[in-house]
Amino acid sequence: MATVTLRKVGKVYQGEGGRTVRAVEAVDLAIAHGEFCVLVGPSGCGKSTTLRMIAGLEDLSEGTLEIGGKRVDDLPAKDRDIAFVFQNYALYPHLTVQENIAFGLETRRAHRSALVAMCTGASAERTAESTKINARVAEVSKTLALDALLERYPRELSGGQRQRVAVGRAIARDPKVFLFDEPLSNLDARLRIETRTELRTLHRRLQATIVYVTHDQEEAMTLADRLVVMHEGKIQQNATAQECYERPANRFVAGFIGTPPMNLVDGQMESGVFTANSVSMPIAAGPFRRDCTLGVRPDRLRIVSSEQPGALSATIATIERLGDRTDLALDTAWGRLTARVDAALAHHFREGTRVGVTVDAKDTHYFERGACGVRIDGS
Amino acid sequence: MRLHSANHTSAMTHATKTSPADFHLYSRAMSANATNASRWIGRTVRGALTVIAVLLVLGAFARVVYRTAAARDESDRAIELTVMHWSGEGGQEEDAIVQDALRAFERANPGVRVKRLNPGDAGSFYTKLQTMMAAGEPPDVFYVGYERVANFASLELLRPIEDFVAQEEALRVSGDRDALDLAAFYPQTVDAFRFDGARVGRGTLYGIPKDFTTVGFYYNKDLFRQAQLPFPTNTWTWDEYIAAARALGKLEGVTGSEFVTWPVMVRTYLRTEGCDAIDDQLENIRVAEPNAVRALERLRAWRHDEPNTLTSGKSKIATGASVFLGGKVGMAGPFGRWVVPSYRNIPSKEHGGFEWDFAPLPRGAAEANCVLTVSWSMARDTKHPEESWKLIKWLTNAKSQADNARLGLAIPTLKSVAASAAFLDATHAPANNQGYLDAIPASSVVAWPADPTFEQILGSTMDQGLKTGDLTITQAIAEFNAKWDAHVQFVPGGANPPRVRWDLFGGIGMALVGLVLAAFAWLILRSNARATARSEERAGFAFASPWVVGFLLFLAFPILLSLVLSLTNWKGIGPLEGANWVGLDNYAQLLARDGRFHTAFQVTLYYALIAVPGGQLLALLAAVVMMQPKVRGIAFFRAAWYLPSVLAGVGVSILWRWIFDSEGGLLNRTLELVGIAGPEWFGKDAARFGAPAFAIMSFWLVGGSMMVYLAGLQQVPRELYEAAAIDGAGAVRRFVRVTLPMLSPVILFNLIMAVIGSFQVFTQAFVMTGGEPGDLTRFYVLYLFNKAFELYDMGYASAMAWILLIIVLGCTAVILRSSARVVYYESLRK
Repeated sequence: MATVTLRKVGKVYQGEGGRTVRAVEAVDLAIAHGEFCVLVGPSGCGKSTTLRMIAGLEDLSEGTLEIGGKRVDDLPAKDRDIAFVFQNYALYPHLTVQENIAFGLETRRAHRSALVAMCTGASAERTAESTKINARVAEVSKTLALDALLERYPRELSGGQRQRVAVGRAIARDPKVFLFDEPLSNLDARLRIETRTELRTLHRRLQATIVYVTHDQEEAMTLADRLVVMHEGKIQQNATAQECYERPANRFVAGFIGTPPMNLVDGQMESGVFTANSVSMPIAAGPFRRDCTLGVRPDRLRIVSSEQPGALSATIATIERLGDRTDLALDTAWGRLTARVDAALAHHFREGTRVGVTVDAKDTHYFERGACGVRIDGS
Repeated sequence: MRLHSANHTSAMTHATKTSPADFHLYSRAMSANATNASRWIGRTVRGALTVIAVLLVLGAFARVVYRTAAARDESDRAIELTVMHWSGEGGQEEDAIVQDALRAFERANPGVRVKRLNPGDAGSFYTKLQTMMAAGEPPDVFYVGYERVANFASLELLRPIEDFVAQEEALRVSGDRDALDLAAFYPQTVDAFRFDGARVGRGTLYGIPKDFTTVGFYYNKDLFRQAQLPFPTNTWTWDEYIAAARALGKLEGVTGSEFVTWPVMVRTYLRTEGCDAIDDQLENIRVAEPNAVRALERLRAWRHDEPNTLTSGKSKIATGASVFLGGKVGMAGPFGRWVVPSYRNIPSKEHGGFEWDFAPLPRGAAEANCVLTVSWSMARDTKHPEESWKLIKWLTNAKSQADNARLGLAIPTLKSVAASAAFLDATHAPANNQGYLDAIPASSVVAWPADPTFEQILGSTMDQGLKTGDLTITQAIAEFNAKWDAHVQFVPGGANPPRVRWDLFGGIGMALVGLVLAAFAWLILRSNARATARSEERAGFAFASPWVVGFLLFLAFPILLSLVLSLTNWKGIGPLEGANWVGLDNYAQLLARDGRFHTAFQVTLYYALIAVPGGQLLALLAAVVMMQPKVRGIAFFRAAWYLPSVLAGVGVSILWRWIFDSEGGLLNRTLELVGIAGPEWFGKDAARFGAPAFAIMSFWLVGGSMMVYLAGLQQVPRELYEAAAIDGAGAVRRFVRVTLPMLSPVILFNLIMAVIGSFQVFTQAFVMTGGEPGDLTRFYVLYLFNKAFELYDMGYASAMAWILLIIVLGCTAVILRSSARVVYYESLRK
């Protein structure tokens, strides 16, 4: 196991006609030994490119990369001692599960001992090596409940089984760092949730350093020790999942992390009153006075009687009942807002009825205007 | 620990599955939603398409019917004669001369129209003639080379013209000055078209000779002067000839003489030593007689033991008449007049050329020469014999012959014209026109057995003795005897084979067609599916029907017919009714006794063993290189590699004939540069290098395979390479462990196509070597072609085709079977 350190890492692609495309920009990231680090962001945000640069599948255009304190950005992938789990698993379709898991082990043995074997004709050594490999494959397949499937070919496996083989292939070599590139996205929703729990468990057992890429913020939050939110090639926030949720560093993170997403309203804050679209609501807030974006998580919106003074007047557009909770889409002068309420209260609401909305000052977030407007910490 | 339970995975597949009924092209839901307007448009378009399709089919047939009707109509009004000739060496000029003569004939004979066909060279001419004869519609009047008379007459394709000649004789006696007088022709040329059922030279007359030639050597006067040699005389001897050749060969960069060893020249050469390959009765083979062997041994020694005296065997292009043109060969022959038009293009000395002349064939123990001649003959089944005769008379009269003589291509057959200025034209080379005429008294027709196989076998074995030298003369003669014996002892179907029961086979054929139709009907009626499904099925069959009909008519029918034909002795010339039933005799002869067939098979196999693995390796390698995205201008290289495989076969073959030329060819020149003496690919080294030469040529054409490999390589998911790279595999291991297995179905496909292709080599060999020297580059299909279209043994050739099919099937089956374990199919699966 090892640390992974990226310093000012960037990736520039040469596009058509001399145009350059900057996929990753000045990424600084230090992943601790044994840490489960998740890179999350919408597609095209540079998270996969960053992962592939760590793996050695892409060259770094700028910056340096260290694994286990050793600079590796000039080493080929095979010499970085990492394992990579691909989105579509990339199992060798012509090899059995056993052979797939053993592939990396055999390749490395072949490299190491080919010369020795040639010189000494050491078939005994080879046999010993094969026995070792078989033992390792058996161990891994047992861990992943693949032992009954060893003689099968990938085409004979279900999606989940293939995914486990891919993981098995990664852990068989006992690498310093595991790299996962959206490994769950080809599974159906339920299996995805199950598998992510198993991955978490696996991580605890292996105490491995893991860099994991996903576009699914929920998956990211459940798995991550450290969450790295990326957008447009840059890191937006690098913190624990909880921190990202509670104190989003900027408007992008606020909108990206959390389901349903945070309500964001552009307006002006003045003397404890927030005004948007000429409609104001008194919110006791920090002593600032400026244009800003107000953010409130759906579950922090409070639904009150439409007559309550100071409340924002709203009409319930739709009601989504999710069993334990209910999401309300509210049409207000501030635009469409989402409120999440306890299912126990849901029977009070009818579509089309008028209600009032209020917000507690402690539940508000303020950001500079703009897509990535930074957090204003005056509140 | 279990990551999850496997049971959930089936949920998704269920969700995407839909009931089969939903897959219909025009589902009810769709048509229900469609507006009336769009339905109306759809119907109109469909209706219009149907009408157009029906009209197209009707139109195609209507044209055929109309043509037939029109033809019949016309035959009532005017007589139309079809005339066919070639214009190989004579070119466009000969074409024009025949054209003019025919137009003049039409003007002189109102009511007779002449349709002229000129397929090009003699080879194309005979192929066309065969096709027309097999179709039962031969041309009325056409060229026949003296060497084909026996064959054509014995196949009853030619109409005897004795009656017309007698009629002319009567007219002549009664004072008609235009009457044809056979005595005015050189008798040898007339006798060349007589055939008595066994041999040429006497018996019934089958044509009037239009022109002829004697043979001799063309010599380079400037080189003779340079070597201080006297010019050859019309009475020179072989000793003088070879002395001159040796002296010429000592000049810097000069070869003494080209001596072609075509069968007819070999026999004429033997005749100058008082012997022959076969006696005049065409019964006893004489080639093994001591003086014949001695004469042949002498020729072989001149060619092989003396450097620079005779040009040794080379590719087809470098033998024959054209070597003389370069001015580096002292003499060339034995050739007749036909080389004169091309030699007249040799510029004078001031313009970089040289002066040349002709000398008749040297004498040995005897004086001899041959008469090579072409007649105008008449088809046996012509509907207008009177008019055809008139036309033959017209085309061989003094006026036509004099016009023809202008070409310089041949000697007029009328003595008076030959002796006139029309032929003895002193303004053009050669000066020694008299030499051709002086050779006539001693010359005679070289008669061939009616079976053209004799000439082919003699040619190929003599090639091996005299040209390539891979056999001694004694061995070559033994080889000839063995092959000829194997051939003549083969009487398919025994002495009196029964006729083919075409009524029976016709019945079987009709029954088969009925069965197929019934099967279709059953397929359509059987289905108890819903109406929409049935209508779709009907539409499917309707759309497929043009192909099905085409397949049945143009593939299935000929294939089955060839199976029947392989059990007969059908000649491929004349109607099918003439075929006799011979059972499996053709197959037995091929497998057990036909040495030429075995040679052809060996040559083909030798080629395949080099061309298939080599070609596939090269194609794969090229594809891998073409896959490298970082190579600049890769698109250009892809196109450049692919280009040769879309070029026309004949043009490419001619190009490669030059490349393989053993003297001055690109390949041998290049080898010379690195210090390797290149082999004579199609000459004396043909036994070892002939087939490999074709394999090398095939390597140039791997672009097609390469494209398939390239497509296959692009199908391999990039992640597999990345996964392997991370797993520590280097480039070689990635190729072996990832690329090859993923590509294995493509490799299998290419391999099978290549194996099949390697058994079908034809164009290259046909154009580049014609199977020569000997039979050393006579590939399977080329021999099949020779048998079918040159030796007129279609039944035998059909049997060869079926054996080929079985060989290819066998190879494919073996490859498929043995590949099951190593070919991995998922890359093609979903």
